[in-house]
Amino acid sequence: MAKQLGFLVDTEKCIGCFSCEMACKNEYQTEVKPRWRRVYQLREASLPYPERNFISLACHHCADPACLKVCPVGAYSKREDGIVLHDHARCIGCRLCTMACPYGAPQYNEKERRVEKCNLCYQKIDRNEEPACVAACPVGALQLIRDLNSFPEPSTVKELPGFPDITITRPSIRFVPPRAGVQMRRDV
Amino acid sequence: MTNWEWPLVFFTILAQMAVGYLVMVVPGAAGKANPKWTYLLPAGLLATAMVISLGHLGHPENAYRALTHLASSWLSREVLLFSLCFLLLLVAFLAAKGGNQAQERLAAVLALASGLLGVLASALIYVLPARPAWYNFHTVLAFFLTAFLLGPALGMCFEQVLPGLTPWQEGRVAGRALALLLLLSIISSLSYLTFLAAAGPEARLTLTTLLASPWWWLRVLAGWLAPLAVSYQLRRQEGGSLSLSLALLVLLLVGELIGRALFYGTAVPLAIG
Ligand code: SF4
Ligand code: SF4
Repeated sequence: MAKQLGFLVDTEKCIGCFSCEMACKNEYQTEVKPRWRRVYQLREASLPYPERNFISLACHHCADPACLKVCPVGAYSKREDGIVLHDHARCIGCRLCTMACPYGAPQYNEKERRVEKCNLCYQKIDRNEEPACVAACPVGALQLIRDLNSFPEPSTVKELPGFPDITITRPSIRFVPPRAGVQMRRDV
Repeated sequence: MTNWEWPLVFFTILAQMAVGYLVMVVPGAAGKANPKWTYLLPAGLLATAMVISLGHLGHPENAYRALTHLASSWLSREVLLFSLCFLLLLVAFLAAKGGNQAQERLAAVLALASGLLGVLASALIYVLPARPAWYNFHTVLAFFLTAFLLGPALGMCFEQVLPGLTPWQEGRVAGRALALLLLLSIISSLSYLTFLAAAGPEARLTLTTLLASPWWWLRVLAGWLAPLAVSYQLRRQEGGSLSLSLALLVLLLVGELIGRALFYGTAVPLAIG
């Protein structure tokens, strides 16, 4: 099986500080609107716990990327390590990929009239460095999985409540799911 | 209502009308046809549609690149098929002018085939799992129904001016077929609404947006009920009627344009959270 890089998001560790999102913006100096990485708060109604939980998501560099299939100009390509690259200069701004991706990863840049998305800091990966978002996380909640095929973690899951159907594109992401918080009660 | 996508609305509707018109005129075309109205009219419609579609692109100057991913992109295939259809119509026109019937016939039939496949490709672009409101056979059905409603309606108008142009119009076959297609269109919409009600939270949101929109009800009136009444009137006219045919065309066109704008504007994507 071909190698597949991926992200690991630990919802138990994430404190929703947006450092990953800011690091991404800082690295690529993107406009305000397209947010290659986004921190979402899990809806409390989706989980049976009285807790606030966050997940940090960008492009999932899917095993079966819908963006790549629909793009009429072939702006998307999948590298041998599984990174789904978007060629910004080739894009003609038809926005079809923004409709096809179940995760809202490719976003239209109104100013440049082209789409853009996370390229998993492939330049850094090639230098054996961590992606900017992973390096910036102060609590280690966002990690890089070097190869999903040999990722053993039994404590992780492939999806969470409110995460779009993973059978559509087989996203390269794993989560450490939230656990019920310990409730402190005082006996009277 | 988020995005009305007007360039795509006009592009798809005009291209589908051109293909529907070809279905009417191509069968009896060779030899006895009026090549200008048979081939140049749909070619012109198609060309106009394609120029309008450029308005949707962020970088229309590079639109030619859209032909480069035929391996998997239905959008690439759509562009190729509609371009082919356009070119074949020009070939048919030139062959008809030069009196070469065999060549004219071949080009016309191939133009019709690529036009029909183009409509199919157009619809398949939107059959995306990420948009539950589009991810079903109604998308394909709706695109073809647009073609088969608007094409004959346009043909009927021209038949009044240039008798003999559309062979299927004889004996009021087209009028009856149009009324049947209208009924089919209404039934398929009802089936679409029930599908939305059962297809998950995003599709249900599309359903409530649709039913709450005054545009939907205008579409019901202009695109279905009024044309049904007019087509009933038309059936009673022995030799057809230009004003009624024109009214039918305008009503259907308005109905389909609103319907398509709603198609783009109400499709709720899968969302995180
Ligand atoms: S998350 Fe979306 S943009 Fe990224 S690879 Fe998957 S389908 Fe493509
Ligand atoms: S917006 Fe750009 S990258 Fe996306 S499908 Fe269109 S051409 Fe391809």
